[in-house]
Parts: sequence; C-alpha cells; structure tokens
Amino acid sequence: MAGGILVFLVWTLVPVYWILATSLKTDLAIYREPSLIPKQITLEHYRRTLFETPFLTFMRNSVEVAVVTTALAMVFGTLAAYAISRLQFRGRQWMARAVVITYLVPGSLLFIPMFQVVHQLGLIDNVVGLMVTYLTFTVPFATWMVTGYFRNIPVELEEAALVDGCTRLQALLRVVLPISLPAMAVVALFAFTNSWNEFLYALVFIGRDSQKTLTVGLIGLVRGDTFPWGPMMAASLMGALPPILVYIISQRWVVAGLSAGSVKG
Amino acid sequence: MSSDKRTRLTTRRQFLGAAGLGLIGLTALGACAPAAPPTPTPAPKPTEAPKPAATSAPAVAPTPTVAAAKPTEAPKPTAAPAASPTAAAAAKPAAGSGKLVIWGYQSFTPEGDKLLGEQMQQFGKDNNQQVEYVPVENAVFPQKLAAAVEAKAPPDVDMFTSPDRALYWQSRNQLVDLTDVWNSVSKQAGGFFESVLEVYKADGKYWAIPFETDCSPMFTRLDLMEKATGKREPPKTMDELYEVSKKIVNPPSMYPIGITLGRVPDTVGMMLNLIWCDGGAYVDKDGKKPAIKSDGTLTAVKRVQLWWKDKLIPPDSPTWDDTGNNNAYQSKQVAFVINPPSIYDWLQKNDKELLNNTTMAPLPAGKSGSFQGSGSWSWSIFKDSKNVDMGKALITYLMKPDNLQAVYEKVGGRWYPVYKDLKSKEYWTSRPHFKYYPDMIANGRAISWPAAPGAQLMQAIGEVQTNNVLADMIQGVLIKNKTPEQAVDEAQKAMEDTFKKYGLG
Repeated sequence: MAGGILVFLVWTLVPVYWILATSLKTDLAIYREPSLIPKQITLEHYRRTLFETPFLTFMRNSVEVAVVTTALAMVFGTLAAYAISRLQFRGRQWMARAVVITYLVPGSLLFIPMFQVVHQLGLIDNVVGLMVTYLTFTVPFATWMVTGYFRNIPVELEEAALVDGCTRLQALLRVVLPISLPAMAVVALFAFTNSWNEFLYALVFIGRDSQKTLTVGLIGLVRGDTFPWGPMMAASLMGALPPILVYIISQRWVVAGLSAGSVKG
Repeated sequence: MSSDKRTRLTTRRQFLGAAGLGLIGLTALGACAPAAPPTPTPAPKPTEAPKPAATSAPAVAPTPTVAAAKPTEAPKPTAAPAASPTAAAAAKPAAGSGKLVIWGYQSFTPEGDKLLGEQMQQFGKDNNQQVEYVPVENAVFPQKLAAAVEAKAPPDVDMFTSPDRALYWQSRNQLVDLTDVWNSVSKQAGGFFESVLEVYKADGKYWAIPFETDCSPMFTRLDLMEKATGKREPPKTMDELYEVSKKIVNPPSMYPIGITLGRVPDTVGMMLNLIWCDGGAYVDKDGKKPAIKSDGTLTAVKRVQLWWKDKLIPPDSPTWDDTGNNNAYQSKQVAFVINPPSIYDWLQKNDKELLNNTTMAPLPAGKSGSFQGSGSWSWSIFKDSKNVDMGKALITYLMKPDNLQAVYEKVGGRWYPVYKDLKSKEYWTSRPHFKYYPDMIANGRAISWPAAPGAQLMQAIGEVQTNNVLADMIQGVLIKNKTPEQAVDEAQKAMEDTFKKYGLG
C-alpha cells in the first residue's frame, strides 16, 4: 500500500519538480544539463515572466473568467438541478438527458458555431465572451452533478419547510443548499478548474494580449519552433498556484461531495 | 389536496420568476465584468468603415494612386518608427471610420512583432485610420482563421506562411486580387527574388504579396568538421556527410545527423529537399501527375535508411516535433540539422561560442546536385473586408524596403529579404553565417518543381504536405519495417488520391 502511494507520488510530483528545476536553470543549462538539481540557480525566468511579458494580465483575466464563470454556473446549475429533481413538468426527463448530452459535445466541434454566436454578440476579443462561452460546459456539469445530489436529499425536509410557510425558493436557499455544501464545493472546484484550464475557445476567440487568459498567453510565448522553456516553466508554476489554493481550501468538502450518495442512509 | 396543488403551482411560478430574474441579473453582472476593456472592440469591422477610394470599384481595377498614396509621404518609420505606440494609438480616426484589423503569425521574436505593430500604427496615424495588429499563435492560426471566415468576420489583412495557404483561400473565392499592389511594389529595390515571382499567381492575377523569403540551410558544426576532416568546411556531398558522420558519431551523446522524422512539417520539408538532391520531385514536368515514385525518391529514402541503420540519426527523432532538431542542435547533441535560422537567433542570444563554430550551408549534393526549397510569407486581403483600399495602402507601406529591412533585423535573421538589393545591406553582409543565402534563395525551388506553380497544383501539394505523406513514407521504412519500394508506392498512391480531388492525376 505504502509502496503504491510512493509510486503514485513520484509519478505525480516528478513532473512538477522538473518544471520547478527547469524554471530555476539558466537558458544554456536547460539545454546542456539534463540534471535533476540545477547547478546554478537563477530567478531570471521569473523576473522576465513577471516584468517582460503580460503574465500578470493573463493571470488577472484567468482569475476573473474562472471566478465569474464558477459563480454563474453554480447559480444556474443549482436552479436547474432543483427544477429537474423536484418540480414536475412536461419534458423534465428529456431536459435532464439533454443536459448530459450537451456536456458531452466536444469543444472542437462547437468552436466554429460558437465563434459565430460570440461574434454576433460582439464579444470577440473580450473576456466576457469567454465567460458566456464557458457557461455552455460548466452549467450542464453543475446541473448534472447537483441534480444527483438533490435526489438524495429527503423531500420531506422541504415539505416540512413548505408547511412552515417557506416558498420554494426559500426552501431551496434555507434548507436544501446548506446541506448541499459538499456538492457545491465539488461543482465550484470543477467549474473553476475547467474554466482555468480551458484552451480552445480562449485561443479562437481572443487575440489581444490584454484579453488573453493564462493558457493562451502561455502558448503565445512560443515563437515558431523556438520554445522559451525557462519563462514557460516559471509561468506554468505560477499559473498553477490559484487552482492549487482553491483545492487546498475546499479539500474537506470536496471529499465529502465526491462520496455523496455512495451510501444511502 | 386541491389547495395543496394550488400552493405548489403558485410556488413553482414564483420559483421560475425568481430564477428568470436571477438569470437576467447575473448576465448583466457578467457583462459588467471588470476585465471588459473601457472601449471593447466587439465588431472587427463596423460597416461604416472609411473608404479611402471608391470601394465600390471592382477590386481588380488598378488603383495605383490609392496603393501608393499617403504612406509614401508619411514620416518614414524606417529603423524605428518615430511615434511611440502609445502616441500612435492616440491618433483619432476619422469620424465614422472602421478599424483595419490585421492578423499575422507571430514572428520569431517579440521585437519583430512589436516593430511590425508599430509600423502599422504609424501608417494608421498618417492616414487617420484606426489599425489593430493581432499576432496570432502559429499553431492555431488556421483554425482561428477558419472560424473567423465561417463567421464572415475575417481580418481585413492576413498573413500567410506559404503560397499554397493563400491560394487555398483564393480558390474559395475569399481573397481580393492584389495585382495592382504587386505591380507597384514588386520592382522596388532590385525587384523580388525569382523564387516568389510565380507562386502567388492564379488565373493571371496575384493574390498575395510576399514580404520575406526563407529557406532551410544545413546548420553545421564546424568545430566537429575540423576535428574529423582537418577543415572548417561543411560537407559538400551526401557521401561526404555520411563519411564524416561516421567519424563524429558517439552514442548516446552525439548522433550527428539531426534530421526530424516525426509527422511534422520539418520532416516533410527535409525529405523533399533530400529527394530533390537525388533527382526526385513531387510531380512531373506538366504538374498534372504525382511523380514521387521515382529512382530519385528511392535513393533518398534508402540514404536515410542507411543513416538510421548506422545510428547516425538520434533514435528519438521519429518522435520529434518541429522543435526537436532545434533542441538537439542547441544542446550540442547533433552536428547537422536542416532548419530555418531560428536556431541562429537562439545562438546569437545564448551561445556565441557555438555560433562561431556554426555555419548555415547549402545541402550537400546528392546524385542530382544540391537543391532546397525557398519559401515566403505574404500578405493578403479578405473579400469581406470593408477596408480593401486601406488594406492595400497598408501593404504597400509595409513593403517599403526600409520598413521591411528594419523588421528583418528584429526577427533575428529568420526572415530574409524578398527584394534582391536588400541582401547587400550591412546587416546581412556583416554576418558570415548568411553568406550562402543569396544563392540558396535565388536558386530555391517551389514545392511544385519541376512544374510551374498553379493554383490547383499548389493546393493539391499543400494537402499532400498537410497530410504528412513524406513523413509517413520515411516512418514506414524506419519504424514499420516496410521496404523503401513499398513505402514509395504508398506515397505515390496517397498523392494520386489527393490529386484526384483537385481534378489532377
């Protein structure tokens, strides 16, 4: 067991260490010294990344896009999930399936029609266009995830609230949501991570540096067949920090959320 | 029961109403996200764009006055534009003017992109025209352009990295005829190199204006040559290359022949060069039929097979992408690579010693001689542009020899002049690494050689290149253990299938 964990840790952490080590080597050493430990440590790549590239702009854009998308996905996803799991209306099952199907359509098929939509909205080259676009995959995921969770919450709890005078919305906000925090945490985390990592739409819809997110900004550092490995590694490492922080903060709820529904009480 | 049902119905409505309101509110919130620029530029080309001349006039009509208009009188941003980008951006466009949007591939240095952008801003300032230059990441440019064209929102002016890409869009009736611009700029500074003269022509008209030329010389480690042969000279024949490589090879730290063998453009270009050197070609003289099945191709394939068997090529080369040979040469793991001069720029910045021990030589001669391709990048204008005349004027301005030379110098040698006289500029003559370049460019072959380039032919070959037919051919021999004859037969078949789609073959 411990051996397995060790192998997994090495498997997972060595690439991260390699990124760190590369980011601390000089340009020449990156090509000439395939060593695990840099012989001469330099922070030059971090300096160049922070002060000679629009890295901070990319970072700010990524944070804004990911945070706004996550918040909207949670709101829309929760309302949709509640409707699907609790309300009786025609086409409910069909809608539930459609949500999953929507989530499964790959972005590579959608990017041209999406470009047309975003262009019609006048949001090309604008991070708001990305926020709108990212809702197309975060909302279905959130809806699907939260629907499953809501179905495991006894309906009697809400009925008791309704009897006590709550409206549906109040029942959702005061009764259902507080006990759904683990599911909310998972949804938030996945929405944030997916938005943070998204590449294709950002690449196609955004051209100006001032509007680029980190993933696209990073690839923009590549010049033809020349890779500035040092700055790219430094940027990758710094760019990975926000999702790591989010994971650390929400770890407790995430574990509970992922196991939700696995055992029915 | 009925009362309960009524209550439920009411709350559902309330619920849906609240959800709708929330949705509207949140959408508004999203739209007000702080990242939105103060003046977002949603529509690339407002309809009320300025029309410097009669835009209603057919694009074919020569408009030399327009093409050569203001930029000529403009303050010349030769070595460096006089106006700073900020100042240029502050210039107010004429009332009701639209933005001129230009998409370019990232050059090979940020400085090159910056200067190109500054020149465009200078042009905009001189012409009271709002201009936006967007350097696009190279790897995804085609997808991005395809999406924009599909949405009828292509850039006004667009950069292409090979003639077949320009002719591809021309064949889809997307480009503006640039014959008038061609006529006004092609004779400047000694005129264009011959290698670009015919490749942008289709239906008797020119559809793109080349602004640089390039080729893939053989980077050669002169110090290792000296150690092996006593002379600091590149190998002159393929046989010599083979012999000297056998002396240099020292696995695992040195596999001298650093050719790329992955399914990438570098492999395709390198294989075509080797095939030419041994007397083969993609097509026959008329350009009607694929002719990759030839003794020349077979010789070239067998040659690479021999290098591979003798372990003169790095064993991981079939997994390389286009950066593989750069990395290998820069890390001193190989002695020879065939590549455009992006390596030269890296050496200049990082390793003067290796630079001094390097030359960029013509390919060693095979059975037929020493030949290599010469490519070029170009500007075109999309038909959906509302700024055709302004676009033409911009291209004319960018094509001013001094403007071009200033950009070349910032791109670190990756772009070589398209005008013959510019090769005499001090920048080029003072760099011995480029001493073979004028001849290599002048004698550079188009991919359609020996046939004259034609729109259909260039597109067909373009597709063959995109499909990595030559890379598959050599990988078939080295990785899948096919015989050279089998692999060449399959390449011929793949080409014939592609050519049929274009009414050729």
